[in-house]
Amino acid sequence: MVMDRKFNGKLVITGKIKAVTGLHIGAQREVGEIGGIDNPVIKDPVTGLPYIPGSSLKGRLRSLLEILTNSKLDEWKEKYKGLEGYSPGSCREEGRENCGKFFNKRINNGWIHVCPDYQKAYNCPVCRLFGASGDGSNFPSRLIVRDAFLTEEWKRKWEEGQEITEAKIEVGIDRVTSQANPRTNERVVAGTEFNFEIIYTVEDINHWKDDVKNLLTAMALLEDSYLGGSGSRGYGKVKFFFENIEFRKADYYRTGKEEDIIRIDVKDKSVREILSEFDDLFSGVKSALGAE
Amino acid sequence: MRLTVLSPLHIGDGSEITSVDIYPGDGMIFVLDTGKLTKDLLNLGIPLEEILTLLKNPPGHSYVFKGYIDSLNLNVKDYTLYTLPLIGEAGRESMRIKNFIKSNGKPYIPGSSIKGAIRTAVFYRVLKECGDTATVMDVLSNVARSANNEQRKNEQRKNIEKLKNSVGWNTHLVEYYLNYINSRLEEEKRFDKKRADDLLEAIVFGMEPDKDRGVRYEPKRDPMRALVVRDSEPIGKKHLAVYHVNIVGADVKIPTWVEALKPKTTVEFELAVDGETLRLNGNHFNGLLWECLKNYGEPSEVFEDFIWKAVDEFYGEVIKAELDEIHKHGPHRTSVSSFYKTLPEGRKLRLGWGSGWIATTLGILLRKEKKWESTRRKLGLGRKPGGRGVSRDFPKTRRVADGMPMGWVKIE
Ligand SMILES: [Zn+2]
Ligand SMILES: [Zn+2]
Repeated sequence: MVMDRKFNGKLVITGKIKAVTGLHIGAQREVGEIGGIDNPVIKDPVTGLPYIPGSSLKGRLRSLLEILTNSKLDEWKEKYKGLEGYSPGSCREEGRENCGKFFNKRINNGWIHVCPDYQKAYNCPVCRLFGASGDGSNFPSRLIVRDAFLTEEWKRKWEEGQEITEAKIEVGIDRVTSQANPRTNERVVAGTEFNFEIIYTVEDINHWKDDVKNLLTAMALLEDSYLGGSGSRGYGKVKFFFENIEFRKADYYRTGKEEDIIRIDVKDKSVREILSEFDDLFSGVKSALGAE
Repeated sequence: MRLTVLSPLHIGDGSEITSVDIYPGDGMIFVLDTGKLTKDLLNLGIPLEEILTLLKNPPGHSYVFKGYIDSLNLNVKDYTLYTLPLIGEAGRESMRIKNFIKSNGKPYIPGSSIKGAIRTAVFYRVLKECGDTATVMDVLSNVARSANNEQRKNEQRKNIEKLKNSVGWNTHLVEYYLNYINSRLEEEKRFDKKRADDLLEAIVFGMEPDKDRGVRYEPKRDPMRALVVRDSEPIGKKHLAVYHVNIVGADVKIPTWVEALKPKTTVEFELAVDGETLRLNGNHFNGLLWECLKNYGEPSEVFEDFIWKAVDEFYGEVIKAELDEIHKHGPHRTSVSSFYKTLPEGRKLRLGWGSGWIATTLGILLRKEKKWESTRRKLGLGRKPGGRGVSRDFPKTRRVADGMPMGWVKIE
C-alpha cells in the first residue's frame, strides 16, 4: 500500500448541538472530578462567548468509537483487517505501549487507541476516520470538526441580557463531619444551542459508507453519554439537530456548480433515524461515487 | 427514572432573597421588582437619599419597600415579579429565603445531588461488609505492588506498607480511621474538618500512591464514575413553596426559610450504569468497593445491584436511627414519627439541605465505635455556640418543615 490519497469529494454535515443539561468544557484541560474554586468554561477570546472546541467534540466522538470498537473487536476483524493484531482491553496493566491490546497508547493518565502505522490505520475504523499519529507514518484524519459557536438565536438571547453561563455551586459533604465543601463550576446553561459543522473527506470510495455510519454511530453514542466534564454527575447531555448533509463532488471544487452538490434531506431527523434510513438517504451519493 | 418528593426538598444555589426584596403577605410571599418600585417612588417625590438611608439602616423591621407600599397605599401586585406560597410563618422583623437551584429560571434536581446521596450509601455498605482489616490490607498490598513510578517505587511502597501496618493493628477499617483522625488531630492544629474523610474515601473508592498519607483518592480509579446521573428535567415553578424551617434542639434560634419542592412533586431524571467503563477498567479500579463486589460475582455485572442494595439498606438504617431518636424532634415528634411510619414502599433517598448528619455521613457506623465519642469532641462536632464546650448529645438538632423531616424522596 502506497500512501496515495485520493480526493473524491466531501460530505458536509451541519446542524445544531444542544446542551440538554448544563455543559462544562473547561478552559484548561482538567480531570473533571476535582476542581478549583473557579472552574471556568472555555470562551472565545474575541467575543467572550462560550463555544464547543472542535477538538473537544472530535476527541469525545473518537473515544466513544474506540470503546465501541474494542467491544466489537472480534466481530469487526473481518471487515477491518487492521484490527486483527489486537485483543480487547488496555495496555495499562503491562504499562507498555503497543502491547497487543486495543487501547495501546498512553496519554496523560489514560490509554487510548492509535494504530502505530499507516497500513494498520488505513484498515482500522477509528484511525482511518479520526487519524493516527504513529511514530513512523501519520495517517491524517478524514474528519474536520469545526468549533461550534452559539446559534444566532442564542447570540441574540445573550445580547438581550440572558445568561448563557451559570456558576453552579456544588457542595461536597465530608462523610465524617458533614461539613460542606463548596466548589463552583461554571457551566453553559441547559438549552443553549451551538452550530456544528463536520466535514468528511471521501478518499476511498470503498470506505465512505462505513466511515460515515461510524461517525453517525459515535454521534448517537454521544447523545447517550456526555460531553465535557462532570458527566457522571449530570453535566453535558447533548442532542444533535441536523440541518443539512450535502455531498460536494470532487468536480464541485473545480466548477463551483450547484449541480455538483447532492443534498440529502435530513431535516428534523434524529441521528438514529438517519442511521436506519442510511441507504435510502445516501443513494444519490452512492451512485455518484460509483462503487460501494 | 422518576423521582417523587416525599417531604420538603431544598437544594440551594448559594443565593438568598432578603427582606428588601420581599413583601410578606398572608400565606404568600411577593417577590418585588425593586427597580420598578424605586422608579415610581422617585416619581412620587420620595428622595433617593431617604430610600438609601432606610436600606442601610432599616427601622424596626427590614421590609423597607413594604413600608413604602403600605404607607403610600400602592398595590403590591403592580410591583410583583412572582409570588411564592408560604408554609409556616413569615419573619416579623426580617427574613432571608434560600433560593432553590434553577436553570433558565426553572428549578431542577442536579444529578450531583442524587449521585452524592447514592455514594454515601455505597460508602456505608462497603465499610460494613468489607471493612475488616484483612481485606483492607489485601487491597493496600495490591496498590503497593502496582506502584509504577520507577524512581519512586520503593518510597511509595514503603508508605503504603506503613499505612497497611497501621490498619493491621485494628480489627476494622472504621476503628482504624478513628484512630487515624485522633492522631492527626493531635499532630496538627489545622486539621481540615472539611476533608476528614479523604483517606477513607481513597481506600474505599480508589487510590493512587501518595507520599504523605500512603494513598490519595483518584477519581479515575473509582468505579462510581460509571454511574451516570443526569440533571433532572426542569420542574414547574408551581411546585415550589417557601417553608419556614424549625431547627429543633439548637441552642440559638436562627429563623430560617427555604424555597423547597413540595411533597408529591414528581420529576424525571436519567440514571445509567456504563457497563463498558466498568469492564474496560476492571483491572484499574483498586479500592475496597471493587474488591467487595468480587464477593458477589463479576464486579461489572453485580455493580448496579450492589448500589441499590446499599441504598435500600443505608436509608433504611437512617429511618431507624431517626425513629430511635424521635424525641429529638421535640414538639414535632408526633408528626415526624407518623411521617416515617407511613412512608411509601420503594426506594428512598434523603437529599439536599437539612438532611442532617446521620443521612449525609458514615455516622451510623462511626458512632458504634468506642473511640467515637472522644473523636467527636476533638473534632468539635456538636460544639455549643459562644465557645464553651461540646454538647453531650450528637447530633442534637433536627430540621423540620411543615411537620416533616426534610429531603426525603422516592425513586423508581
Ligand atoms: Zn486504529
Ligand atoms: Zn472528602
